[in-house]
Order: sequence, then structure tokens, then C-alpha cells
Amino acid sequence: MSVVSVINQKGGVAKTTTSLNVASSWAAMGKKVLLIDLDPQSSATKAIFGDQDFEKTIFDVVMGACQIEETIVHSEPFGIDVIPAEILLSGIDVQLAAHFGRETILRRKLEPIVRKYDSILFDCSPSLGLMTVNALMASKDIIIPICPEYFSLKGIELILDTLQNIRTGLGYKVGIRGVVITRFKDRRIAREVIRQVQETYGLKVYANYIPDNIAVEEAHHKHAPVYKYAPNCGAAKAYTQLAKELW
Amino acid sequence: MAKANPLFIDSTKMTGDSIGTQFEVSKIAIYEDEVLVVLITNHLNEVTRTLMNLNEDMGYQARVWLGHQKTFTYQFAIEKGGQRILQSIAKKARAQYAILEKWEPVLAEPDAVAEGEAAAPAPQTTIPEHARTVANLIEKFNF
Repeated sequence: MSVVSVINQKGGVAKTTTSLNVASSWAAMGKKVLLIDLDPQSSATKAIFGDQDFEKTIFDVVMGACQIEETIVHSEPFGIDVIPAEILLSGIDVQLAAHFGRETILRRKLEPIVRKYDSILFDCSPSLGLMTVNALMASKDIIIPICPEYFSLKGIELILDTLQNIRTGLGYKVGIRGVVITRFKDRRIAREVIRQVQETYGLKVYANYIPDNIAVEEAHHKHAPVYKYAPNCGAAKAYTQLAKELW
Repeated sequence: MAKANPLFIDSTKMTGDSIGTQFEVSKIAIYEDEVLVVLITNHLNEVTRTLMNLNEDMGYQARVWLGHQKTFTYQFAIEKGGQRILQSIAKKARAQYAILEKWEPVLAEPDAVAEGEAAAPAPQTTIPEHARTVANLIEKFNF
């Protein structure tokens, strides 16, 4: 059983796309997977369920308004269980500011269901806030998706700083599984960034790069994983291989 | 001392609660006849010297009990035969779960510098007798 956060404080690096497609590929491998959407913009929730509204979301779980089991929804096309997010998550830092043990709420709430799954994935918000800290405190390790460009190195520095702050301030050590290269275009600058990630930061970079491909975006509109929407496209094959590599 | 981000302050601890702070120093080589110690002055001005042990994963480490979020001063030092041979700069921090550092010795020994400054003669402030009045100056230098 693994609990993993897909995180990058930089936006637009295909965190949600990676979470959805990896989770769905794991499900296709026969694993029981739960995806928890922690982004107030609810990108993962919308990509899976469209504009469907949910009465109970992860917000209610964290606020203690319901049990976590009540919020789990199954998605047939993706083959996974999902806990949806909602926009109210954006105000949760203020609501929980004075809450005793506010950093580990999610970890405690997961307890009744954690052994029911082979893997639990958090799709984190791009900002550093209390929900991101909660996700990290509940995770064994993290996966960092990056688009190989100059600013992605700055994003990695931010994550490493955050992990160090979690270690020093909250006493919990989160592991780094590795870096997933997304929206890959084979250019010299991309290769250079990947080399720096490996050499400067000493991080593992997964061998299956996800190519820049419009089918990934189209799959979101069809509320399907890319391996079902366009099974023969490069991105679909890369995500399937990446899921095996990540497991 | 860096400002404390409230996101990373343990909300289950009151300020001053006892907390086991893990000190870790990496990128350091200690020879057989040397020891690495961490010298700490806590918020009550109590000074402790704690021996650091080698851990394969974390480098040298030691655990010291401090008051949560209380300010303290720490310094790492390599000692040989009871004599300090190298040390890092003394730093202030707030007590939390871990202090992670790469070994960076200071080349000049701060204590020696401080002693040197103290031993140097203080600037002369007494005015010589002949310079106390204009009349004396005229008499002395035949103006």
C-alpha cells in the first residue's frame, strides 16, 4: 500500500493529468486506487465527472462534517475511486488556523480506509497551503511532474525547501520517488534541464517522458483516461509505461 | 535567524514545550582521534556540549531537548584530545524538530579573535597635562 502526493508548487506542469492517467493505468493493472483531489479548482474532479455537483467533498471530511467513506465516488471510465474537491477548499487555511493538530487532519481522516486500497494518490494544489502540508504529512513519498524548462528547476527548489521545512518544523520525513517529465519536446534545453535535475538535485527522473500531445487535453473533455480515448497516441503509451515504472 | 513560517510550526506544541531537536551535519569527515560535538546555549543561557554520532543515512547526528520555538544558539566543533581544532560559525535558531546543516568551518577561530581584541590596548582617552589649557600649550611649544 502506498500513499503518494503528486506535487509541484509551479502551475501548469500536468499534475492533474499525471495523477488521473497514472491512477487509471494502475487500476487497469488490477490495483485498487483512490484519487483525492485537493485542488480548490477541482481540476481532477471536473476532468473525471464533468460539471457534476457533489454534496460531500474532501472539504467536509477535513472540517469534520462527514466521514471519509461517505465522500468516495467510483468512476467507471477511470476504474478508480475518487474523493472530489470544491472551491471552499480555498478558504480552509483561515478556517483551520487555530485548529489543534491542523497539519495532520488528513492523515487521521484516512485511517479507516487506508488499508482498503493498493494506492492512494493526492492531486495537490499548486500553492503551498495547509492542504498541501496535510497531503505531505499523510504521504509516504511524492512524485514531481515537471515540464522541462528553466522555471521547472525553480519549482524543484521550492519543493525541496518545503520538504525540508516539513522535516525541521513538523518532524516528518517525506521521500521523493522521482520526477516525471511531462509535455516533453525533444529540444536541447529540455535535455539540459533533465540533466540538471539528475545531477544538481540528485533526483531520479523516470525514463518514460510524456510527450506534448493534444490527445491528453481532448481526453479531459471526454472525461476519459488518455489510454482509452486515444490508445495509440504517444502520450497514452507513455503514461501506461510510466505507471508500470512508478508502481 | 530565518523567520518562522506558521505553516511549519507544530500546532500541537506550546511555545517552550520540551522538544527533541535532531541535529544533523553532513559533508564532514572526522578522523579516528577526533570527535564532533554540538555546543548549545539554550534560552535560559544554559550551555551544553553533546557528542554527535555517525549515522550511515544522515551523517553525524545528535538529539538535544530544547524549548519549542525558543531561541537558542548552536555551533558545531571538531575536537581532538580535548582541544577544539575546527568549528562552525555560531548560529541562532528557534527550537524545532530538526536542524540540518552542511559542515562549514570558520577558518579564523572566533574566540581567539575576540580575545585578541580584548587584549589590545584601549585607545588613550586621558589628555596630557601640557594639552589641558592653551596657556600650557604656549608654554610647552613656545608659541
